[in-house]
Amino acid sequence: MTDWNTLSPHRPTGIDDHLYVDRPDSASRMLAERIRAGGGPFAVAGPMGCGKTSEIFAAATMLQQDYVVVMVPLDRMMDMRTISVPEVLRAINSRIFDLAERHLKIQLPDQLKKQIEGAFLVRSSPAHADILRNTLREVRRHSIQQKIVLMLDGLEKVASSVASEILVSLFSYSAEASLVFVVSPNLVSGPQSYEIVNQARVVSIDPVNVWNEDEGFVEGRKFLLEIAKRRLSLNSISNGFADQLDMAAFYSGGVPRVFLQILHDAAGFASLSKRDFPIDVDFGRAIADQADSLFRVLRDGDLESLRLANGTSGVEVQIDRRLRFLTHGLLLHYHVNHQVVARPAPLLLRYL
Amino acid sequence: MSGKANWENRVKSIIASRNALSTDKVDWKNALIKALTRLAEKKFCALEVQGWVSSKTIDGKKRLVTISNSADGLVGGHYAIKIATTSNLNADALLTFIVTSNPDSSILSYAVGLQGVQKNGDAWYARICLDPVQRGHGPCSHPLLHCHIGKNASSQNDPRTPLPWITPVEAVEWLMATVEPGLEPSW
Amino acid sequence: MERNSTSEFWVLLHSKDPMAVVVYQDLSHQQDLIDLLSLLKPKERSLIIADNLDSALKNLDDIVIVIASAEPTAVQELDGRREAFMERTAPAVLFLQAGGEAIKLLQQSYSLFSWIRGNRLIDPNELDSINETEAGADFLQKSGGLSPKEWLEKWRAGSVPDTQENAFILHCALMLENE
Repeated sequence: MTDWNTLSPHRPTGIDDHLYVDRPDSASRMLAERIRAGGGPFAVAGPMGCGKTSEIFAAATMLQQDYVVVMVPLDRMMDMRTISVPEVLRAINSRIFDLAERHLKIQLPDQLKKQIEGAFLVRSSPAHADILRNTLREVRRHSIQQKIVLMLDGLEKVASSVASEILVSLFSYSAEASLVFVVSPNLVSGPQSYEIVNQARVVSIDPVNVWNEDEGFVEGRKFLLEIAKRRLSLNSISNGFADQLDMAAFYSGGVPRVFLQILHDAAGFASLSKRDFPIDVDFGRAIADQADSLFRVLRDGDLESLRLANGTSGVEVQIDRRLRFLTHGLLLHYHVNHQVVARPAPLLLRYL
Repeated sequence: MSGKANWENRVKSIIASRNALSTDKVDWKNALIKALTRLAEKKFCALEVQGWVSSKTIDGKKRLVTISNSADGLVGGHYAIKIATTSNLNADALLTFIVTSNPDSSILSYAVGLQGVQKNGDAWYARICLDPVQRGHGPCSHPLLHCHIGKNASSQNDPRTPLPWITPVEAVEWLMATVEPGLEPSW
Repeated sequence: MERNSTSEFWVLLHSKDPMAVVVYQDLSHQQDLIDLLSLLKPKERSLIIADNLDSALKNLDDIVIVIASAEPTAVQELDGRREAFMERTAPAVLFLQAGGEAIKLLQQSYSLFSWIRGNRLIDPNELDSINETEAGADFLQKSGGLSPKEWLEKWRAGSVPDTQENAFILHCALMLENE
């Protein structure tokens, strides 16, 4: 019997995770190659649910032989309402310290250990900044890899101004480590993004192509189906189920989390009707649910703006509206023939 | 005693009982879910039945409680609940209900039905109806709250047995206890 | 296609979704919904009613209904700590008042709202509202072209046969009568 809870729409894949499926654009491989090439810092941006965390973990998997990879999931480590620069520096320090002592078996100098342990009593950013610099240098020096990549996740959950302040403070470590940050689209779009975009290379993790009109939609839909198959441990699927998954893939707009949520919800409705497997009506309900809740975030003029933006680059949409569209996943950007094509979320088609 | 006045008094009594519900503020959806849960726990229907009771409204005025399209049975084009084998009926008898209530939770009208096949192969059908208003020739031939008893749901001329006031939940209880004595309420 | 809040609640309570938001109209509605959730929950799961989110972070395997004493504060707290809720194996259900400050706050927080609606946001008032246009068209088809008012007139006059099918149509007519 299929355990639909294994779909876990909100769980990204981790390091060395057999559930990871390579994207059609091989984003994680490209990120890993760019890090190896010495570029950065990298701001990994994209709509919620597109797989930013999964891709950085996949890149980390590829890099872990040659780099000391430090994953810092800020949103799991602290309350994002009260996040500040000193707190972030302290969190990074504690992750590196933990990794060094427990996993890499590196003996850090006692003086540094005392500084890190005493860091909880220190409030000033400059003090934390120096401690972190020392830590990075010592770990680099004592590690086999001699290179560090620092991957910070969770900044897309704080206000842009706070995230920006944190990023700017971390840019000063570019010489000590390769830096990768997951950020919201707001931070790297529009006039206010200048400070970040000027210093960081933006890596977009966008929805995969699913529209029939767009080249690459077959690969995009196959990618999503493969995610479902792996999470459900299905070696094969029937033609009927494949058709339903294909429909769910389209309505997800190519956003993996939305796709998994549709499937998960459809399975829930199926179980209510004592079915082991969802059928068309279950998918219909699940899609209607997702469409309804997406509809809630629309404001005056949004539908017309989405209609006009369909098939364009989206750049003509007024900037504040565009950022809201991107953050909510109302307008999705696809990469088609080396160009960016904007389309409304397919879930909204019934309203357009 | 007999005569028109008695029949009309019965109608008044039913209307009074119906209107008195407005002070109880009963949520009929929840009340029916409770009754169905008891049936499910005794394995006369699926446990999922709890999720099959839907309640709909237009602008928060009248409320319609019935069986949703997640249910496992169908009667004509209407969803129904399959009932497992009882003492008197074979498996897959079908229970239906529909309740329309006013904003103050007093009941405007309801219909609760059970149909199935008896052990001897004969069809069996009963449906309890509370009409919103008196209709037909009068309260004797067409009591406000009555039960159709016969063989099938399409029959137009089955006798209409007059009933004292019972709620839709009690109608479900009565129909089920009729076909399964083990379901006599004990609480 | 019919959707309703009971089925949405049943699917939620039988799932391992970590979090959901339920929109209630007023205190009486809130109580009806709590009663309903208590009825629908699986037997093997406990249900706790709490007035803050901490309970949801302590009781990871129980269904926790959160009726916050200060809803906007609860939303802000959820925003700051949402990853912590991902460890839950049963839903924490946060009740927010329709049109209230907390709902407005939620809609302004793009990232949190996306996360919530990607989990579950159940508004029984919306889910259980009949679409009058669709219901009206459906009625015309069932009644052979008669409006609810016309059909009821025939019914009151005794010229509609007393069948089960007509009992169902009667209720639809009663619902749509004054619309």
